[in-house]
Amino acid sequence: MANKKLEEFVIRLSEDAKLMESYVENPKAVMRGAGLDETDIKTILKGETKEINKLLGSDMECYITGIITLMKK
Amino acid sequence: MLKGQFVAVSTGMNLAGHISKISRSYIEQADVVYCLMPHSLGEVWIHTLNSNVKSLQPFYAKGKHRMQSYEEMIDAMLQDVRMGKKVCGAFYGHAGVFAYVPRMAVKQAVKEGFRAHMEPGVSAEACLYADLAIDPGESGIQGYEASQFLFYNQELNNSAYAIMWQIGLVGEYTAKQFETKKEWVEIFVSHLKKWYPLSHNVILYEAAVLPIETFRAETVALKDLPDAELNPKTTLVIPPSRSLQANQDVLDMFGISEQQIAAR
Repeated sequence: MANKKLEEFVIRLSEDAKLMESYVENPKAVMRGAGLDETDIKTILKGETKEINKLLGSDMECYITGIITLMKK
Repeated sequence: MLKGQFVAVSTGMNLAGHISKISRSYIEQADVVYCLMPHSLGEVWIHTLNSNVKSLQPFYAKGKHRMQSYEEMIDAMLQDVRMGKKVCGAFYGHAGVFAYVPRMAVKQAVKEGFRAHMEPGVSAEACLYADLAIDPGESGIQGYEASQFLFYNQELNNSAYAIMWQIGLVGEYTAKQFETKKEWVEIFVSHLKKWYPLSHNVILYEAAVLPIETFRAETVALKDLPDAELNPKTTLVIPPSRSLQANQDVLDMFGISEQQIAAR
């Protein structure tokens, strides 16, 4: 199930310089201030991509290479 | 000009933070948005801008030729254009860099008499310059798709930076898989011996796609590349192995010495 609060926080973090500055300075406090669960905060602070993706409801593998031309025409 | 239209917009690499105002506006005002994002949260974000969003990810499948996936994506988007809709294709990074689907979709739409264009954006290459503090103006830069470089007679200038895109797919000649093999990376390394010593340090780079991630910048010796962790996001950056050499013939034509060239 999607973690709406976390999704909204991460999206906001990507476009709000002031929030990002505060996050860089004290990530735990900023995430607590945003009302994130303690378990979510711990996972994010660990920085393990797979676990973070699980939290964000994204277990699927995104094929990000797909728009790239591989060979000469 | 027919009624439908297509715009390929570039969303940048890092979720919502890199997109231009005009690209965001095209997404907001489209009748339908097709998107290809490097993370599912990217799709969630696009949904906050427009309620009618369709992901292009389902067109991919392991074992399916990527060109077939591309053609199906283009066809899906153009079907809506032909129905007179304002269609926006939202592509991560720069929609026109190492990209087939957005470029061909624009070309096909124009060919059929529709208005279509592309909006530029922040590419992985742009992020690389910022994250690794490399200025391409310092000694020059060259970039190749790693497999294409391997399979065709390309040359390298080892006094400039070299960027090898899709190193995590190097040698994958079928266009049906999404990974390389250790033996293919070994062939790639062996090929690079023509220009670099095996002890030469190279950088494995991956741009961050979420603001809670950090970019990857891992330095390894060229000989250790086959054992390094490579994935579809990884880019290989090869720093110069020798300094710039003055072109004495040209300096003679100018009647100057190397010392007279303005120093940086």
